[in-house]
Order: sequence, then structure tokens, then C-alpha cells
Amino acid sequence: MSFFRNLGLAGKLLLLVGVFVAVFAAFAFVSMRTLETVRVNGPVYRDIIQGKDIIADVLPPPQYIIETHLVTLQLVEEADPAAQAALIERGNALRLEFESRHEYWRRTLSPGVLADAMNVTAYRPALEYLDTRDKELLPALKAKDEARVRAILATLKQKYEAHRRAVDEVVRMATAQNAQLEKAAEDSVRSSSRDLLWLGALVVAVVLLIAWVTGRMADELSRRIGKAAEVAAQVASGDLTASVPETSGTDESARLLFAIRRMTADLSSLVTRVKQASIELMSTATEFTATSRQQESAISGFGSSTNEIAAAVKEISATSAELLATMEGVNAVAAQTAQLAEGGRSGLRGMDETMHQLEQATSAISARLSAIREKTSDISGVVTTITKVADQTNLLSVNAAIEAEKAGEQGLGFLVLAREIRRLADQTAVATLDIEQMVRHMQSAVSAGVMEMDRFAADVKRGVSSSQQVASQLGQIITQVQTLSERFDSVNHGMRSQSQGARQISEAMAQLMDGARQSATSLKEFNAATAHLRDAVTSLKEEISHFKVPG
Amino acid sequence: MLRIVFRVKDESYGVPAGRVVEVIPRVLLRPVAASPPGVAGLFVYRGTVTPVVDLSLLIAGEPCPDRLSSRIIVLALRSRATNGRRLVGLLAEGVTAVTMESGDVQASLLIPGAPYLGDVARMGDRLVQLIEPEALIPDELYPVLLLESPAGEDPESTRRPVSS
Repeated sequence: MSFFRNLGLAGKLLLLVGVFVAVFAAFAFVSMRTLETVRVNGPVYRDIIQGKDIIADVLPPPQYIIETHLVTLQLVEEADPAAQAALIERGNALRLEFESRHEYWRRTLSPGVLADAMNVTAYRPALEYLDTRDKELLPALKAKDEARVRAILATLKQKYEAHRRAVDEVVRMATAQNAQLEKAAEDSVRSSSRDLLWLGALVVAVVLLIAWVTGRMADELSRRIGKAAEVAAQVASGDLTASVPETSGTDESARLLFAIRRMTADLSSLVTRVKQASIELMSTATEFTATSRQQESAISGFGSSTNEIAAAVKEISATSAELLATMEGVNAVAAQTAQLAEGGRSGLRGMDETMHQLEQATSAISARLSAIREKTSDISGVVTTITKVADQTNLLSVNAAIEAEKAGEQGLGFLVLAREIRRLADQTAVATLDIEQMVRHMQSAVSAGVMEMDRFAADVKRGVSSSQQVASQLGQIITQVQTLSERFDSVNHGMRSQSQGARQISEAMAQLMDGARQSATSLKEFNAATAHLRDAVTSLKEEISHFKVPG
Repeated sequence: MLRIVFRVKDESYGVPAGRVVEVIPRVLLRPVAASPPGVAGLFVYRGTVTPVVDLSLLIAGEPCPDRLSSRIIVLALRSRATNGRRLVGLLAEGVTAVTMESGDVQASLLIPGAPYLGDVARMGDRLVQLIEPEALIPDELYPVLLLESPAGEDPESTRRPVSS
């Protein structure tokens, strides 16, 4: 196989053509041999014909009613009824065979002169013969009508003769046809053999032509592939300046060359880009180094910042703890305040009751004072009456004195009496004046008392409403203090969570510091990696410098 | 000689009791339009239309205060022209007392424009000015204000019951 693999394309083609021609020649030889063996009048054909002839020579022909005629003649001659019955049976069997074979031939023979002779000219007398035998001879025989049997037998003989002539004609026609067919077959075989020889020669010529054309093509192909291989070798050695010849056509080799040309161009541009990229990569690596140095310093700054933040968070935590304690103290004070307010409220409730009693008492006193005022006005009426009486008495005494004066000497005693009466009236008037004044004083005192009582009652009412207001305010204070305690609870909760949060922040800061430390080490590693990168880029540049790029 | 003593603006005045018909309580007066100064109004005294002179208005220029002791002193005057008897009311306050003291006339005053003010007498510890009843009403008004009483009827001899 290695021999075949190392063979060139043209050699391979030549080898394939040689193998094909050899196999084709072998095939032609075998075909010719087979054709010679099985041709008409060939050895095989003769053997088959011989077998058929033997069967035809030995067996009585079913379509030729010679045996039927013989059996009929025997039947006529036979006297024994048992033998007669056997012969009738034989005749029936022969008729059945005749009809079946006729049916076969009627179906198989192609229409023509031979078919007419076989199926009409020879068949019709035979059928008439058989009908006459079965319908006329056999009843006559049964009736033992000797004369009639003779007459029918004569008719039968005539029919047999007609049949035999027709059959002879058929045999003659078949034989002539056979000879004709054999000759045609012989001619056909001969011409076929000649055609085969010609065809073989043509095939060999065409194959040789194809071999020549493909050899040419293979030469062209191998030339182009060789060029491509040459260019590829040049590219492999790093020379990208190698030029690939322009090719026309769109076959595979042209496409290969075109692809190599494009590949070379792409590779050249790629190498150019790689060179530029390596330069950029170098600068980028330098920038990396600078940036990582900056980041290192930033991380160290970040570490100090996180330290400060951690300290601040610790302070916050401590402050919130103090605040928590303060809040607890405030909470206790608020609870005490609530208790005090509760006490104040109960005290106010007692005071409220007292106030109510006081109010009732004042209204009672007011009622009494009103009664007193009414009484004093009664007294005042009485006094007025007394005054009026005194006044009238005085007037009476004055007039009496005047009358006494007019009476002269006789009226002197009466004058004295009038004077006494007048003095009495004057005293009464003075007394009533005193009483009036006293009553007036009393009235004013009572009025003042009533006013005072009214004012006092108003004060008491105000006091009651004030105490109720104070009680409600105290209630509000209590509820507010209670809600305050809930708020304190929430503040406490918030403080606790804040202190917890501060602790978490502190932990997070510690983790952050760890992270900063880790990132510092990572940066160191990154620096080393950057150095490696620079080395790698340098080596890449060296590698790339092997490539020669046009322009 | 008995005198009725009364007050006008804290000062004491007096009239002789012999000229007094009766002392009555203050009654409602019917005012008289365009009347001479001091005339408070008219009232009917026992069937006679009687003019009333307010002494306080006449002397002090102020109406007499409404007090229990403010009373009307009904005087019987004698007309100078006809010498008939006429009644006139004198409204004053403090008409509550009579006195028997005649008193010494301390000064005889004759004040122009006020002919009704007479002598001033000392009675006990106070000075009492006497009123001239006839001079209370000017002469020309007598026929207008004071109706003539029937002649021959002596008011001083006529005793009438005291009105209540």
C-alpha cells in the first residue's frame, strides 16, 4: 500500500486504467465463451432438443387422434363387454387429454397460419370424429346394430383421414418454421458476437482517451498543488512576501491557490496587527505596572481609612450603649411620672366630689339668702306702714294744735295733748327710721351675701370644671406616658439594633481590612504577572520579527 | 302766739297758726302755664280751686323735695282791696311741728322784691324768719288767682273737719 501511496497522481491513474482494461478483457472472454456454449445449435441447445425428440418419438401425440382411432377400431372388434367398458373408459380419457392439450395450444400459439392449421383445420375433423363416436357409434354398439356400426365406422374413417392430412400439414409447417427460426438465431448470434467485439474495442479506446485526458488534468493539478505547497512552505518558513500566481477558473485547485493567496494576505495583515498589538501590549503592561503601583498605595490608604472607620464605629457602639442606659433611666422616670399622675388623678377625683358637695351647699345657702331677702322686703313693707301711720299722727297733732290755738283759752289742754301725741309720733318716726335703716343694712348685707354666694358658686363650678379638665389632662398624660414607654421600647430596640449594626459594621471593616490585605498581596502577584506578561510580549515580538512582511 | 315752723333749704321759717286753715299732705297739683314765679299749681281744697306757692322755689329757686314731711299749709288771706277771704297753699318741707314760743324779734327786715319775708325771731337755739302770708301773692294777681269767698263768711270762725 505504501507503494501506491507514494505513487504520483498520473501513475495512480495509469495503474487504475491498466487494471480496468485487464478486468474488462477478462469479462469479454468469459462472455464470449458463455455465448458460444449456449447458442442455438450449440452443445447445450442440441442436448435439450435431443431430450424433447426422445419424448416426442416415444409418446403417442395427444393432438393426433391415432390412438383414439385404434381404440375405436378395437372397441368395434371387441365382443367382451368388460373389455368394451375398459376401452370406452380409455377413449373418454383420451378425449379429455385431447381437449386439455387443445386448450393449451389455443392459448399459447400466437395467431398465424400455423395456429389456424393446428387449432381449426386439424381440430375440427378430430372434434367431429369424437362427437360422432360418442353420440352415434356408442349407442349403435349398445344396440348391437352391426350395419349401422359399419356405416358410422366408415364416416369415422373419413374424418380420421381428414384429420391426419391436416396434422401432416401442421407437421410440415412446424418443421419449416423451426428451420427458419434456427437459421435466424444462428445469424443473430453471429452478428451479436461481431457487435460485441466492436463494442469492446470502442470501450478500450474510450478508456484510453479518458486516461490520457485525466493524465493531462492530473499533471495540471499536481503542478498547481506543487506551487501551492511551495508557497505554503515559504509561508511556513516565515516569508510572507511569496507571491502566488493568478489563476483563472473556479475548480478546486484554483480555489486552493486563491485561498492560499488570501491566507497569505490575511496572515501578513495579521502578523502586522500582531506586531502593532504586541507594541500596544507592551505599553499596556507598563501602564498595568504603574496602575497596580497606584492601586497598592490606594489600598494602603484604604487600610488606614478602614482603621479610622473601625475606631469611629467602636465609638458609635459605646455611645449607643450609653444612650441605651440613659433611655432605660428615662423609661423608669416616665413610669414613675405615670404613677404620680395616676395618684394625682385619684386625688382630683376626691376633690371633684368635694367640689360637688360644696356646690350643692352654696346653692342651698343661696336659697336661704333669697328667703331672707323676701322676709326683709316684708319687714320693709311693715316699716313703711308704721312710717305712714306716724306721719298721719304727726299731721293730726299739728292740725289739732292749730285748732286748739283757734279755740283760745279752752284749747290749751288740748294743745298739750296734741303736743304729746306729736312727740309720740316723732319717736315712732325715729324708731321706724332706725328699723328702716337696720332693715336696709340687712338687705344690703343679704344682697352682698347672695352676690358673694353666686360668685362663690361660679368659682366652685369653675373649680369643678378645672378639676375635671386637670383630670382629663392627667389621663392624657398617663396615656401619653404609657405610649412614651412603648416608644422608649422601640427606641431601645432601635438602639440595640444600632449597636448590633455597629458591631456588624466593625466586623465588616475587619473583613474589609483583610480584603485590602489580600488585594495588596494579589496586587503583588499581579505585578509579577505583569512582569511575566512583559517577558511574554518581548518573546512574542522576537517571534513575530521572524515574519517578513511586505511593505 | 302759736306758730307753724317749717324748713326751706335747711333754714327755718314760720307762719302764725291763726292764719292756718289746715295742714294737709302733699297732693298732685295741676300746673298753670305762664304763672308768676313761685306758683307750683292749682288744687281743689274742699270745693275751692286753691293756688299753691312753692316757698323753696320762691326763696332758693329749687322745687321742694318730695319727702313725707313736705306738706301743704292752707292759709286764709284777707284781700286788701275787697277785704274778702281767700285761700292759698304754701308748699314746704319739715312741716311737723308747732311752737308756742313767741321769740324776740331780733331784726326787722324789709327786703325789696321779697315782701313776703318778714321779721327774724330767735326761738330757742335757732333763728326763724316769719313769712307774711298776704305778701306771697302780688296784688295784681289776686283777682286772677284768688276767688272771692262769699262775703260775711268768716274763715276763722268756720270749723272744718281735718282731711285725712
